[in-house]
Formats: sequence, C-alpha cells, structure tokens
Amino acid sequence: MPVEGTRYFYRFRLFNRILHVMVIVSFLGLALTGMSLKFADAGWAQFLSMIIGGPMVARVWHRVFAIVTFCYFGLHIANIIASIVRKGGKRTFWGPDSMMPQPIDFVHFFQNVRHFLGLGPAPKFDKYTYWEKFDYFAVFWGVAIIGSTGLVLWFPTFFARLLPGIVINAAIIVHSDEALLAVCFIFLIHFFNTHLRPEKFPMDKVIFTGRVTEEELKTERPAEYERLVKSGGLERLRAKPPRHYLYTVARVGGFAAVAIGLCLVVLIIFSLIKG
Amino acid sequence: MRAIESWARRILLPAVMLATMTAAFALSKEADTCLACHSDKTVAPLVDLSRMDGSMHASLDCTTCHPGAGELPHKAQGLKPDCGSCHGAEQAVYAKSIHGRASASGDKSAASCVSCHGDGHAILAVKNPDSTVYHRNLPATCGQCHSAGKIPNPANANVASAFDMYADSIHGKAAMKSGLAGAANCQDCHGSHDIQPKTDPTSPAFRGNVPETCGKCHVDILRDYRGSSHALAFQQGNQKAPVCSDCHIPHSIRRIDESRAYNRLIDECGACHAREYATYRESFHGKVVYLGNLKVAKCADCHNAHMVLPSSDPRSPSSSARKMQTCQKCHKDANASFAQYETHADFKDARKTPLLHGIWLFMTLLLVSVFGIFGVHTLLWFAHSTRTGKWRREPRNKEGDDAR
Repeated sequence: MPVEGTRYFYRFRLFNRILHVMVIVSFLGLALTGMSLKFADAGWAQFLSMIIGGPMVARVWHRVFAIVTFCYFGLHIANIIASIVRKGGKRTFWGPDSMMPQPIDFVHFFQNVRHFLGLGPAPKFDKYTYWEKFDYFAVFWGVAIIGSTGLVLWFPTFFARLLPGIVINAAIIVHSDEALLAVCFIFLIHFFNTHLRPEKFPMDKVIFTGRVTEEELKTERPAEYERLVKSGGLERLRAKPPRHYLYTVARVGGFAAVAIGLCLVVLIIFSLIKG
Repeated sequence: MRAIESWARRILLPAVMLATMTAAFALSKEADTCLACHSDKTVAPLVDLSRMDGSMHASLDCTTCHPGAGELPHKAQGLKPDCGSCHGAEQAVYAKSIHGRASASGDKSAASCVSCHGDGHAILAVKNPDSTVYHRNLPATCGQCHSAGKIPNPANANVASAFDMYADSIHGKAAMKSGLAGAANCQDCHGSHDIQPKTDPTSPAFRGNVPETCGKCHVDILRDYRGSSHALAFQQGNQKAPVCSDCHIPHSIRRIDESRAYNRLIDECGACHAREYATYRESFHGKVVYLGNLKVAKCADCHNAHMVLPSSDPRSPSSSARKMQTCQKCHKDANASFAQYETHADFKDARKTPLLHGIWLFMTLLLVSVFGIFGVHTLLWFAHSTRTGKWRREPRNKEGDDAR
C-alpha cells in the first residue's frame, strides 16, 4: 500500500524489475530441480523429485529455466552495451551509478563492520552498497560459471569433440559445488541482507514496486540523496506512487519465493550436516 | 437270554464273519471282503472305495499295503502301510534327507510320504494335474508347513516362511498362477525325496551348486557366468565372490527392472566394491537411479551382469578397447574423448586425479570463505539491528490503513 503525502523516486526501472522476476523464477526452478538430483539419496529429495515428475521431467524443466537464465543474462549484457553507447564506458563502469566495486566500497565495508560493533557511525551509502554489489557479482559470476559448465553437461558429446573427456568430470564438480554456493548464498545471505534483516523484515518490496519514498532514500542512501539534490537530478527520478497491485505481486510472489528458498536451504543444510 | 446274547457275540458273530469272508475271498475281489466290515459304520477304519477311482493304487489289493490285514483276526503288525515295501529306492533316499532324519529322531511334524503325496488310497501320478506333487501344486504342498506361523519356533525364519516369499516371486507366479511347467518350483532348486539344508554340499541349493542349479533353466546365463571373474574367484575359494542367489534373492526373486529391486542390486555390488559404489552414487547415473529411473547406466550396463570382467580384460565393456562402444549404447555421438570421462573419479583422491582434486579444493575454499566472511557479517548485522531496536514497521497511512 503506497504511503500518502510523500514523494516517490525510482530505484529500479521496469526493465530491471522484469529481469529480476526472471531471476527469481528461473533460480527457484533451477534450485528445486537441481537440488533434488544433487541430494538424491535423501528422502526429501526423492519426495521432491517425485512431485516434479521424476528425474527425466526435472531435467526438462531444469533446461527450460536454464534458457530463461541465458535470456536474462543476454538482456542484461545488451543493457550494459546500450549504457556504454548512451553514457560512455566511464560512467557505465565507474562512479556511483555503476555496479563496479570501487575503493569506497571497501571503505564502507570496514566502516559498516565497525558500526555493527558499536564503534562508529553507519557509512553514508550511495545508490549501490557493497553487499548489493557482491550479490550482483555473485549472480554474474554464478551464471557464467554454472551456465557454461551446465552447457557442457547438457551437450557432453558435443563438448567432448572440442575438449578432453576429463572436462566433463570437472564440469560436474564445478556446476554442482557452485550451485550449492549460489543457492545457500541467495537463500541465506541475500535474503537476510535484503529482506529478513530487522530494518526490512519481512521483505523489501522495492524490487517489485521499483520506487522508494523520499524518507527511505534519505536515510538508507544519504550520499545518493545529497548528490541528487546538489545536481538537481532528483526531479528526474520522481515517480508516481506505486500501483496497488504491485504490492499484491510483491507480497504473494516475494513471500512464496522467500518461503520456498528458506525451506530448501534448511533441507540442504540438514543433508550436508547428516551426510 | 443274556447268556445266549453273550454266546452269540463271542462265538457266533466271528464265526459267521469268518465264514462270509472266507467265502468272499474265494469268490470275489479282496477289497469287497475288507469292505464287508470297513465300509460299515461299526468297524474302524472306514474306507471309502470311491476315493480310489483314478488312483495309482486302484489296482492294488488291500493286503499289498496292509499285509497284516490278510488274516482274521488282524495281526497287530503290518496294518500300517510301509511305502518302502514297493518304493524302496525312494524310501532309502528319503531316510537320509532332512525330513527323513527329523522323522527318525522322533519329530512328528517332519514331512512323511503322505504329507506330500496325500492319502495312499487316492494317490495320483506326479504328472496328474490334480496331484498334490504336480509341478504347479507342489509349492502349496510344501507351504502346508513352510509358510509363516506354521512351524513353531523355526530355526531359520526364511525356511519357515519360504512359501510366502515364493508365491509372490516371478517363479512362483509363473509356476502357480500361469502353470508354466518350466518355472522353478521348490523341488527344482531343493530336490524332493533327497531334500537337504542348503548348508549340505549335496543340496542343489548349496552355495557352490547354485550356478548349476539355476543354469538347468538359465543355460546362456550360466555360460556367461562361468566366464566371469566372479565365477573364477569363487572357484579359487573366495567365498565372498557372488553366485546367482547373492544378487537375485532366491525365494522372493523378481524381475530386475523394478526400481527397488535394482537399487538393492547396486547396493549388493557395493558390498564388495565399496569405492566404486561411492563414486557411482556420486555420479549423475547413480543419483538418477536413486530417484527411481533405470534408463541410465547401472553397474551391469558397463561391466556386464553375468560375464563380469575386470577393465583390464579386453573383452570387458569397460576396457579401454571397448569403452567408447559401451558409451555409445546410450550416448550415440560419443567419441574417444568422451569415453575418457572418468566414471568412477574420486575428486577427494589427490594422487589419482590431481586436476579434479584441485578444482574441488578451490570450490570448497570459495564456499568456506564466502560464508566465513558474509556469515560473520550477517550475524554482526543481525545482532546490531536487534540491539538498536530496528525491527521494522512499515509506514502507515493517516487513516490507519494497514500498510502490510
């Protein structure tokens, strides 16, 4: 439900929100179909596999979600190229609007840890915080690594024509372990950092609504707010209050995703400890 | 009057009977003579002659089996039939069997001739489909004793409930339901008159005799098995080397294309081949089999089911010479490089597969460091936010609309 009597500003434009919905759907699908195979000796995985329709049905879905993943990865790369053309390489890969890690991020990291320990003030974050950039690169690196090894496993006889057979062995280890890392990272660290931490609990709906209130912008990203006020760019980000249905989408879709993810990660950790 | 009655009972009745019987003996069939008394309600045991219609013993005289009954009054001995007087060879064999020995030692419940063949009067030829020992009917006959609960305090539960398991097995269904005379029944694997426990080297079910016993029907499989390293190891005295019954559970034997049966089979291979088992279960093939799909490669698909050979043998499907062809059974476009894929690679073994070990080590290190750094970061954050009371409340509208 939008708050009345306050100004709204864009944080995520429609294009990136659609990409993130693609990430959510495909990631959950890949995790469920993949983990039911990775932990095949566990009862929960056998039950999950049975619900999906068996390993051969899971395989088809896994590849469908992989295609969705390649699509959003491609769209994102195209978006970066468009940004280079529009704004130039320097503003795409450096500065406060870029996802690129920069010296200030390391400074913020240490300042923030100090702040958690009660030894200093919170750092003044700009548009993208260091943990958001880490999340971003975790997905970027993850898609590249899991995606490429996944293709080797999808077309093993084709890749065996180009590479030695041992590459298939390597691909299995990398695909499986990197997927475990990605699933645990997203469902534990990303969920906490973005949604479950006390400031945002139970979830931050901005990825669905795309807009933040002036109050949120000022307190959570003071450097960005000051910068925008100074440069006069704030008005260009002015947005109408989010439509009501966006909150419904956020609540239903977001909660479902968080719930599925948390359940899966609990089962995975249970199996890892037991096994 | 009383005296007359007594006199009549003591002397006259036997005299009349004797006279009648003597006359009858001379004039008619012996059976009619016996039945003069034994079809009457007063003189036990009663004999129903109609039961002998079609019996193998129909043409015999009563005294053939009851020699003591030839005289009147009957002698005490020779009234009970002695099957061995005609079937001497069978009797001698039976006496040495586990049933015969148990019977001789006074076990009243041990199977005797009539336990399996039924009453001597109504006895039918083994080939007669109504016979209790006809191929199809034999299992149920053995099952009179060898079903759950029939033998009190059995020494071996598997022996005691053999029929229950057998009835549901592929052999049992084929023999009993479909009436296939070629399907193994009890006797085919255990013998009949000469039945012995499977610990006895003369039993067809003795471990060392099992391949020959199964091979009576499964001829080609026996030939394959004989050429396998399993058979060789067994001949050389390795008692752990598998015979048929180690992989195919004898009484409850099933088709192996049932998922549960196959997973058990793979576990059986793993009982000796532990390292290969562990690496197989880690592989895509092994995991898919766990999930109940049997279309992927299983032990036997690459190593043969019966003619199991080491990879060093060029005849083995997993040998370097034939590996690629074996992969091509499923992966049509597989080439030599594809066949280099290490099916049983152990990435924890640094010496055998240093490259894979290195990759695994790197991935593990990455996992540990990411969760080390961000785990601590998250915990600190959580503690800080909780301490400073930042549990969030979404902004509410002035009208008091619930913003959540």
